[in-house]
Amino acid sequence: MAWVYEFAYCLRRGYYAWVEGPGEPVALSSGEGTWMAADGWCGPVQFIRDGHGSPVPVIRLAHVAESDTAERPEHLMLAALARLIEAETGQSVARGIVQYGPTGRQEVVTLDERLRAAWQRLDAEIRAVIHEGRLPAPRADQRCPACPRLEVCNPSGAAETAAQLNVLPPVRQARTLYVDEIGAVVRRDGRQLVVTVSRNGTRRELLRLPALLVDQVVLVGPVQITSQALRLLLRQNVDIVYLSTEGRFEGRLATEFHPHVALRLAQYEAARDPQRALPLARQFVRGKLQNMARLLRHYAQDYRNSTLEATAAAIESDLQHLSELKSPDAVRGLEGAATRRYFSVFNEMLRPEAHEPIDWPVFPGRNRRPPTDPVNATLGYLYALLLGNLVTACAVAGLDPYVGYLHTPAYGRPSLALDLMEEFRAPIADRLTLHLFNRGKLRPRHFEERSGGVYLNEEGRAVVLAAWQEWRQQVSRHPVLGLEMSQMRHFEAQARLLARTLQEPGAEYTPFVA
Amino acid sequence: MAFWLIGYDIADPRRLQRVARLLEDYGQRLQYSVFLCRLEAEAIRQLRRGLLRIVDLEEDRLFFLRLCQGCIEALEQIGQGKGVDLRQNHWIV
Repeated sequence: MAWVYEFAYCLRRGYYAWVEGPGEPVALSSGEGTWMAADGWCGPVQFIRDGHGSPVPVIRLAHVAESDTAERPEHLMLAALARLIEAETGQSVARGIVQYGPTGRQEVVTLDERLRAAWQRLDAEIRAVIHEGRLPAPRADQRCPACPRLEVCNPSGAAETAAQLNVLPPVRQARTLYVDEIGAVVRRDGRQLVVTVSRNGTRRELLRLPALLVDQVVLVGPVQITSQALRLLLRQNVDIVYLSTEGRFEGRLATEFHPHVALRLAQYEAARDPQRALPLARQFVRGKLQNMARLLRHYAQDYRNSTLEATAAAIESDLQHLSELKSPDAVRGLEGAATRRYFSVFNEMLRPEAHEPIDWPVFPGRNRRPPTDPVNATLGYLYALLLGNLVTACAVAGLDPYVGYLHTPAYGRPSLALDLMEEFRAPIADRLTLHLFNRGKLRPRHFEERSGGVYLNEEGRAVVLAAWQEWRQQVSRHPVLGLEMSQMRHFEAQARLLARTLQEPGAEYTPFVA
Repeated sequence: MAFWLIGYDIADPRRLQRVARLLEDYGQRLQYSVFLCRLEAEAIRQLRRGLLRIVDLEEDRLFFLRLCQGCIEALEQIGQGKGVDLRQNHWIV
């Protein structure tokens, strides 16, 4: 019910409150009162009984609102409460009481037809705003100076002041604290977060910063957080992400009203709108094809191999056709054809010399479930590791990993993570596979045959995991953000870039190319 | 969200300590009595209210200076700079 006040004050303020999570409570005292629900509204209702025994709702306001010509939000809220009480108890409500702040001044409000009709209109407007998920126009009247969302809303609206004032977009930034130090403990000191680590019995402080500055805390591996710190973070609407040391997403702790609602709505909307899904699907495929061609060219130059050169050129010509394709199926078809081209010459990039005198490994073409040979087994294993990392990246960026654009959503398929993964397959997983075989790090003894396929054995998995850990930490420059970052961070940066694309009309997603 | 430079002269050691403690919750100490804070509108209001409850305006003084994006980018610290850089968006431990 507290939303009613925010929406009644101004639809735009209500929208911000709904999207970003409520600000400090404005109306309504605490959670006291009788819980009531009707017409999709619910909340604790405080009421007293007058001389005739009929209920009179009471609300308390922290500060007195400036009087203006329009319907006062507290009056509309009383009308909403009256409706709730009437629906719940069947008794009619004639009056309501507003108590003003510390002065204790009371105002008795008669709930007449005019006020009730005004509430009916507002109710419909609120439902429309929530249903459409669109930002309503600002009121731009005398209520604005007292509004807590003034800074975000910026009703005066001149474009350049908006650029100055609103350096950050209204949806909260993901200012992130990563704790990736074995044995580190995140503690609370006042309203600061302190990360400490104990070595040889002495506690050393690694970092200290105000909790206000953080929107997300990512805890990697064996890291502790105290309950006090956890509750401080939850109270400030910070979410806490747990990752295993392998980068598997283990879970997330967040308050009920997560600030990324608007992002997920944008994601679902784009998935339903072919006009928006198709360009995204194209960009994922563009990234994949560019990276396959680059990898082929790299090895073509190294080995002076004309087959690889020709295939790279063929994939590049496929790229030319990409923007002409008008349906997601056509995009998927092109992707499939280019991928088959790529894997038809993948064997040329392997260097059997490293394993002489045996002729090993031999790549018969891409296959899976089960993989028939060591190269496919390694590719499959690395793709799984990569996917795990991208599911994490999606979740960390506030996206739903299961609703994608290139891959059609299906039960239990992390489509969006698979979409984002396309551009990383060649430069991350395929390159690492080639590296492992060509440098002789993987040998025939690292594989075993079981249940009709060839798989990495325990020793082989250890080799691949160790290499993967190292590979992931390699630093390269991000093409859009221009920052040096590790591969791990690249996954997340792409997810965040996608998040921005989904929220800003006209923004384009740029795939990772390396 | 904006950057604020906040400085103080406090006459009484107890009040001084309380002001410093409060500011530590909101930002980064640049100098002994100068803090740099990166705050949302609501947080700066809260901080201002908190400070006014502590100080004695007869004896103490405070200043609040809102910094523009250009000013904050031009910040240069020489010598023994301490603590985290508030301009960052991530911190890795």
